Amino acid sequence: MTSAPLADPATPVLSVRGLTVDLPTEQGILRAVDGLGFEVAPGETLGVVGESGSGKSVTALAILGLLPSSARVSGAVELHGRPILGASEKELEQVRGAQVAMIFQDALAALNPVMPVGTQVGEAITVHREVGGAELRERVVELLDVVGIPNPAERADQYPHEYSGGMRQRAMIAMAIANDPALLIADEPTTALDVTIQAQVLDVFRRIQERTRSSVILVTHDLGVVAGVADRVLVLYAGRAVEVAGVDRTFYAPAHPYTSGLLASLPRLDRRARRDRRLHQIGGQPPSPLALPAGCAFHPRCEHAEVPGRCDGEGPELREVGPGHLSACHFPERVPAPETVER
Amino acid sequence: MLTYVSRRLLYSVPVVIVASFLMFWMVRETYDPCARLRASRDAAAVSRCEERLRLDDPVVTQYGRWLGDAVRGDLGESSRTHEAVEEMIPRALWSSVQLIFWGVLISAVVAIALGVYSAVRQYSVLDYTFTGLSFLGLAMPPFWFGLLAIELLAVGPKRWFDLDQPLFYIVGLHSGDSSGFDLDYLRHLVLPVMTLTVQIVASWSRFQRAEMLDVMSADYVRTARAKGVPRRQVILRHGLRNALVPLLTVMALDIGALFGGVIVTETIFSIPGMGSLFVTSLSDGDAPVLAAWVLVTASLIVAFNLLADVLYSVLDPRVRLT
Repeated sequence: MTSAPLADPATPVLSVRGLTVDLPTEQGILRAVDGLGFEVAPGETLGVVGESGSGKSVTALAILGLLPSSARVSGAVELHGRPILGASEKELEQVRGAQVAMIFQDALAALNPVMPVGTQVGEAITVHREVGGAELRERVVELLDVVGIPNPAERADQYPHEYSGGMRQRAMIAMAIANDPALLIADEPTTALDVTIQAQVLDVFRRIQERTRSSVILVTHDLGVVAGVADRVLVLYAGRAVEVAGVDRTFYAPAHPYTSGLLASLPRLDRRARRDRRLHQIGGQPPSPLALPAGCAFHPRCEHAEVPGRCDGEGPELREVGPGHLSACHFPERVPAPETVER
Repeated sequence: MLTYVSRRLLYSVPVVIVASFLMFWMVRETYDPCARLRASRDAAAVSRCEERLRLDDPVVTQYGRWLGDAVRGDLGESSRTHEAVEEMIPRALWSSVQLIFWGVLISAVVAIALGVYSAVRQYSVLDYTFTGLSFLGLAMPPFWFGLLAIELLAVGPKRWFDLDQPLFYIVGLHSGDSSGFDLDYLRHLVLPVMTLTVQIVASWSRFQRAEMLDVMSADYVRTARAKGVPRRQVILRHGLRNALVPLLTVMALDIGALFGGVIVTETIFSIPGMGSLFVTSLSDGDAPVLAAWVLVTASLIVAFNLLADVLYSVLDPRVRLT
């Protein structure tokens, strides 16, 4: 583990080990992320999937040190082998936006309402490089053009509220790729958009990635988006990784009952549901992070759990169940293939 | 925007007229300008007085006559000093403007600084200190603070240290023969401006703190940080710039109200401004002065309300005035 340069393909762009995030709340300390570990290889897109409150966004923010100062973060986060967790605010400012850039969910809220979009994109450049005047302007217009904003020169002077939802998200992407970062973290980039606009934005996303060869962490609860864009998938439940696998194995051979439940809950166009048959759902509620069940956090909602027994007795470790496929389930062999769940 | 402003100005004309009429009417109803003559039991003098002021006419006619003269620039004469009102008002206004200008300028700077600091360092010792002080400032009546300031900063030190002159003066804006912007002026200004500032800073800094807290937790501030923008710039360019929009609006509204509202401060420090003019005219039942006073202060309030709206639309591109 040296601070090797980019050139070594074996060195992951990002490596996260034992990431734990505690957020103080009025009811007590909330463990939002618990011992999370994963790596992102150069050029790879990692989909991070989970329900609301599973710790997806907190993980994304923790990587760049963007959580409120009251949050207690421990573990290790390394960028190209260089530790960035616990780095000084000054060092982090040099990483943010330059080496690791973020794309946020609600672009209307995430863009400054009183600053022209072009200025905001330009700011992403000028905080890291000394560019000014016409050159900066040219670069901003070029970036807006790359993400597919029509009349970019004119649009650069407009304010976020004058943009449509899809265009705002494109502008966010333009801002994020301004410095050709090695890693893009996209936190639910398509959640607030119409389906057709979603597809366009994802398309921009793919083109950008081909162009810049950035690695991407795509945080989402939309399995459709993951299927379309990700290479590997990390499934989170109650702040822990429950399954990590290549995208195909995730969809066709899940090894965790939560993953298979999520897949079975997807409405499908190619299989007409019988009218008397309800859509599959995972029973129960996600557990409160303040009062996690003993043993496996998923066991109260699991159809295959051995209770009383191992499932409510001991927390399962993440272990290999196939090549590059990890699952945190005591009985991964019991998890049915998604096709059979509904029968 | 231009149509909006002209329409608003047009709407405000009846408001100002009604306000000044109500004032004129109430003063005429409650106060007899010839009362002193009545006491002398000289019937001829009383009727001369009534005739001169044409008190027999209905109040509306009297007001109409006053207003007709007013729009031609003749605001009548004070029934107390017989001085032309159109000369008294600007003089009083000028004194108030000086007080308000310095008070608002200092208050704005201090309130913004305190508000931003308290928000950025929320729950720090200084934040709690400023919070406590601003509650004290809000709770303390200005007449009491003014008297306290006079005792502790002007009269007290002069006595304790046996000075020839107090450090700060407590009467008016200038000593007898001096004028203009000089040390004498500043020594007069300190205490009244301080009295005014304490109240304003207390409320504005609270407001600014709340706005700033709101803005600093906004998504776009997080976006700015995610871009690698240094903290100071995040606070100023993204935080303060957005938090100032509502504060400036509140400021404009408050300044408008101040023109008729620095009565206590002006009275304590004997500053011949609009506040003192109101108090003396009211106690003398000086209807022409009071009607003109309302005309001017109401116009100023209307103007600053309009300014607040215009400012908002200038500072926030999302707001359109139509």
